[in-house]
Amino acid sequence: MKNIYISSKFLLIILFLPSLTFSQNFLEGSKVSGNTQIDAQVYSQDSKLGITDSTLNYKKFGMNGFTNVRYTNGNFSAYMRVEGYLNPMVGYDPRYEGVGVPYWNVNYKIGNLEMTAGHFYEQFGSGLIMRGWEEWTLGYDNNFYGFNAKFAAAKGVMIKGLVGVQRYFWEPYTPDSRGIVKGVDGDFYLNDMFKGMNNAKTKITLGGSFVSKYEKVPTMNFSRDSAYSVIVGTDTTNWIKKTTYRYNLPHNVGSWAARINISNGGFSFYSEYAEKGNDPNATNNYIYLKGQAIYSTISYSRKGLGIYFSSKWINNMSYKSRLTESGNPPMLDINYLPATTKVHQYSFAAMYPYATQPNGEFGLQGEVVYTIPKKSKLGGKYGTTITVSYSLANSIKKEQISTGIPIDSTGTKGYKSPFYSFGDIPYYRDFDVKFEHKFNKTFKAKAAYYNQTYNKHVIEDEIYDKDELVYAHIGVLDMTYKFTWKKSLRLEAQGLWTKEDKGNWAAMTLEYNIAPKWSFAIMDEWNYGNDNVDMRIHYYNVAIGYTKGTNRIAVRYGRQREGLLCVGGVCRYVPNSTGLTITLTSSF
Amino acid sequence: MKYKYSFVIIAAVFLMSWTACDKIDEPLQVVNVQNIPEHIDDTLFFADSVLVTQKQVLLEDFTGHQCVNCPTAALAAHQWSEDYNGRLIIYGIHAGYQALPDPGSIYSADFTCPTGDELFNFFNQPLNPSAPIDRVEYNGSIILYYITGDWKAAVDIEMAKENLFDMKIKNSYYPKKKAVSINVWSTPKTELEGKYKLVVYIAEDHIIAAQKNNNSDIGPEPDWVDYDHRNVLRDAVNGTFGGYITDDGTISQGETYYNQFYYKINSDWLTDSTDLIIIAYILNEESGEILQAGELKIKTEK
Repeated sequence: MKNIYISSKFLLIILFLPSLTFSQNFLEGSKVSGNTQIDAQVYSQDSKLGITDSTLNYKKFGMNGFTNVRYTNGNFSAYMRVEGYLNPMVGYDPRYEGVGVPYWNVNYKIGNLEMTAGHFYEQFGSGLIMRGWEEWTLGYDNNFYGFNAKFAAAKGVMIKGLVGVQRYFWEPYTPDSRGIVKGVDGDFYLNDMFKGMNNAKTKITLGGSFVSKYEKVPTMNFSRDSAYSVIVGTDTTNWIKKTTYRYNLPHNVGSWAARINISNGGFSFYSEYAEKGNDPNATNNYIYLKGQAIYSTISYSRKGLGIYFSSKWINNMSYKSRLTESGNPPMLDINYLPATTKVHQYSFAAMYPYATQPNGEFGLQGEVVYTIPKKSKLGGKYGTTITVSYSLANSIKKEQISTGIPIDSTGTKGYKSPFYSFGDIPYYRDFDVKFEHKFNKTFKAKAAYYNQTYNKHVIEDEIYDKDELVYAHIGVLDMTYKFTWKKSLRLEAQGLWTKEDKGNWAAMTLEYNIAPKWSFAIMDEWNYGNDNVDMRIHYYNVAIGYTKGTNRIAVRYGRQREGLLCVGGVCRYVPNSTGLTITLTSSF
Repeated sequence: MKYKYSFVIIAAVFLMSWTACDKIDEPLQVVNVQNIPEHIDDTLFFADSVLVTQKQVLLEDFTGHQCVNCPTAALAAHQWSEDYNGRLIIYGIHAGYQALPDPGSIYSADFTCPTGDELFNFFNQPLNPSAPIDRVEYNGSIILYYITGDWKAAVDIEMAKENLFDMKIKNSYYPKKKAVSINVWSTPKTELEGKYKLVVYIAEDHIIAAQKNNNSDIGPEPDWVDYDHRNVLRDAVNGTFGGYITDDGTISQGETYYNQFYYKINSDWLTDSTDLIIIAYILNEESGEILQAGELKIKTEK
């Protein structure tokens, strides 16, 4: 925390010193903007959910909040974010407890160069080897603290470089705590670089990146036992040979990626291939296999039609700035492995989400969105939109490196996996179809069906088998009726049917809106099909929201259902809780 | 020209990044091999055991027989150990230039050993006499010097800490095989995160040999020819930095973890005048802190 406070003092000096020296010029043309969000929860005991003061650690109140402030003046800008977790709300890591400035930076542009010093987020390509990002709802933040430069080296050539260390809760950087990350990335817009391609309809961009981390590695040993017998005359003695090994861990782990993007009108194709050097770490059980990944998307769109397809193959691509870091919440990730599964809006469709498996995964996703034209027989007066999508995630094929060495054996190359191979363990399947239709000026409706297969062992417990698959059917009906242009009523009915896990669920939401200020909602999710009769619980909620200008306050009372909350394949476990939640958002 | 300039920059930076990768051809290094008989076919053995249920503190004394200040420090430490009823465990690491044998002189004995040298290098070759005490920082340093008074202060702080592990050490010495079977049971008293290692050393106690000294209050100077060298580190049973208590080093409160070792003793250390001692300690891999330590004399034929 000490370093963070020093950092914030340093920021204040940077912000205000120029104003003392050149106060007139500094204030002229300056602009300050920002926003705040505060989520506060008061928890109550709930015998049905097994929540007591003791399980809450006697923390009956939780608050997560942040304020962003941005100062800009011409080519100069400064940014800071104050965060507070007093106490962290349930489901957030207790190591977040505290208040501070985990993110600040100063930025300026001179000519072709843009420099950022302080904390920053950066992404190379699709993020396969480098992505810094933050997702408030997940409690995820892997920002870099250091220097970031962007240089337009020539027409159509953009070079980016960075050196930094990553955020780890509030823990200041020390050489033993995590590594230093450095990287460089180039984008080459061929149509801008070569005159002959300037006016071509086909646009081509090539890109490449290199990233490396340096880490002061720990001394780590492990033991293996083997049995043997010594026979002397008629005497046989059985012995156990216990061998202690020390890992020879790499201080520097490098990675590279190359990508291409081609677009022509409504057609677009993107592909990126990445490799990572041997990187034994806690996620991959300290194997010395190099990492590989390929991620491709292809899309086509025209009026009334959108087609999207993506595929992903990743093999041993966990890349963190501390090799011993693992578990939840995911921290110190240098890279990001794009999700090829869909993020769903409706709560039951999102009950069984997918978490990316960095040790190996084959993923496919396809989606077609078609709008039946207005005033046609099927489209009706306002048209009908149909969305069909399918996504799949599977294991990759893993073969022994040699007989006698089990797959994933620590201190070895782990396994062999043919490029783009498809394993036999299903991780996830999701087929869904959605209809959206506006019947008249006052009434519109959406209907959706989802068919999901969820490998609970893999996604929740990191047990790589197919012994606990959940097959779920989900149906949703979402109807909105407008009484006047201001007042509307929305009814959402959901059902989830499964023979596995917690059985069947039903849900209903009724929402009344008086635009633009008021909203009222009551909702209930009922686990009526739970095998355990005592756990056939109603997760009820009532909510009121009020908005005025850029300020909004929302109050909700009820039960929060436990489960995984995932954004882009990165997940956080949310436990059961009951209580009052107040959310305040504001911007200026 | 512009493009040439750009590509030179790109090539240089890319090359720099490309070199920043360590390719490991030999992932594993063998640091210790233990051969443990499943059943020792010998009815003649001597056994002893000790149960540790209070927090004990480990003082790792970097010393040398030609270090004039070392006897004062060592004697003081052993006096504190008596004052604390043996809860301060001490062993001597003879390392550095003051520990080198001087052939042909009264300092010809060699008390150094590879384990001691490894520890000496691990702690960045500290001056004698110095010691980590439970390998915990005191006044900003893990290596503490006796003359600054830090040893006693750090020992007192460590002694006041809560006991996090119970430990039982048992040895069975087989005279015909000149080997000892060492059994260690470790029980975490509270829920502890991280990975934990058990380290077991062999030390030789009461070696009578020459030692330089500059303190006439405690013994002859400058050469104390019949100095009693206490708990001189001889070897590591399971490697200098030990091995995990469990398969992956993680532990749970209330569980008892059992580790067994079988060690062939060097005949030179089996003398009538000296004792062999087992030193065992538990440390947190990440912080390096020693949480519990124990000492047990190997009962031999004497």
